[in-house]
Amino acid sequence: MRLLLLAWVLSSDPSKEEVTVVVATRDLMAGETVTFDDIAQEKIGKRFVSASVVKPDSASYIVNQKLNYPVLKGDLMYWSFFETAKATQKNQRCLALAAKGANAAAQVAQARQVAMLHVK
Amino acid sequence: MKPVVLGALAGALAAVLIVGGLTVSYAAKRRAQARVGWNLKPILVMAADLEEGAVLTEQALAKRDVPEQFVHGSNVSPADAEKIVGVTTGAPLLAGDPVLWSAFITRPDQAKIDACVEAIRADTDAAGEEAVTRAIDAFAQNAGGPLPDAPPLPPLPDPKDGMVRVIVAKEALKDGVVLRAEQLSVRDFPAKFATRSLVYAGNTDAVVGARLAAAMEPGDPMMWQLLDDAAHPHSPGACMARAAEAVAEARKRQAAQGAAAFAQKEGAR
Repeated sequence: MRLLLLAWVLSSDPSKEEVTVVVATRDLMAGETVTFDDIAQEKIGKRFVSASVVKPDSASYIVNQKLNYPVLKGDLMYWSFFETAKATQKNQRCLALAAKGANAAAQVAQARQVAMLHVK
Repeated sequence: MKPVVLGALAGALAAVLIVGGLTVSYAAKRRAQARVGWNLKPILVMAADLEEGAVLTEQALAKRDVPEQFVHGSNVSPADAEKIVGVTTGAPLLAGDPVLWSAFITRPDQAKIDACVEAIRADTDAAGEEAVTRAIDAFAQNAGGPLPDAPPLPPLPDPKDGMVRVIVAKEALKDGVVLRAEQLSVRDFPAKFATRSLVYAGNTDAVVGARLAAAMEPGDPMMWQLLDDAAHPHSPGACMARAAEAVAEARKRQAAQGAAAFAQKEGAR
């Protein structure tokens, strides 16, 4: 009986509440177009996610959209990763200029390097 | 008559005169107060029905006195009659209608608007394209030469009780902000979702002073790919934001110039 009560208390604890979010199933380079195969659903504690994270019911909005930033396998998908303005051939130059690196991990490493270099 | 009686009579007379004067003055004041808003003021009204788009003639107008409280700035006063005679009406008017200035606002001619848009479209598009090229060139120049080779990302930290410690946004952060220490905090994050994109505790020095390339909500974990050099941005997001700003500004400027030139040309016809 006590165990049942404890289970009930734990299950009703708001800090244990979970939500389903969209995560990347593989590394994706900046400029890549996301497909349904590139994303999956995972459960995570509600307190760890904000409205910036893409939820499964909105997943269709990011499919066929281009990424502005590299994403690594397992990363939660954030709305801010995606282009907000209509991409033109001209502003695709931004990706070519900024997103150096042979793969997504190299692109993230490059971004880390930029952040590290500005440290005095 | 005794002087005492005379004095009393004079005093009484003076009192009667003063009280009478005050009473007359008070009554006049009350009359004026009662008429406030009810004094008549002339306005122009329609003497005949007029269809929308018809030209207003002097014969179609009449003068009517109405209480001043019903007269406002929208009414055309008889003194301004000559300003509206010969003008096309923008709405149908019926005999007796007070004439309002708004009756002479003509609806925009959609055909003209379409012609204007068509006339300025090509130049506006071209101005936008040029602005994008210039903005990206400037961005590339400001970013400097090629970045030095980056070392591989460090391994993930060891979890403790299924959690790792990450740097998160303490408050809502707009894209483009240069991050300050007080805008950041460190918190647990499920190790199951730990990737090498996340900025883990101990890297605050690298985050403070960096420019955030994308907006974040409170509690969102910092990610390396969303950080940028504050003075010399490199990120695609920053580049695209610059390009978008430049194109919007250039298109707005060109469209305004084109529309003004179109209006001038139309006016000259």
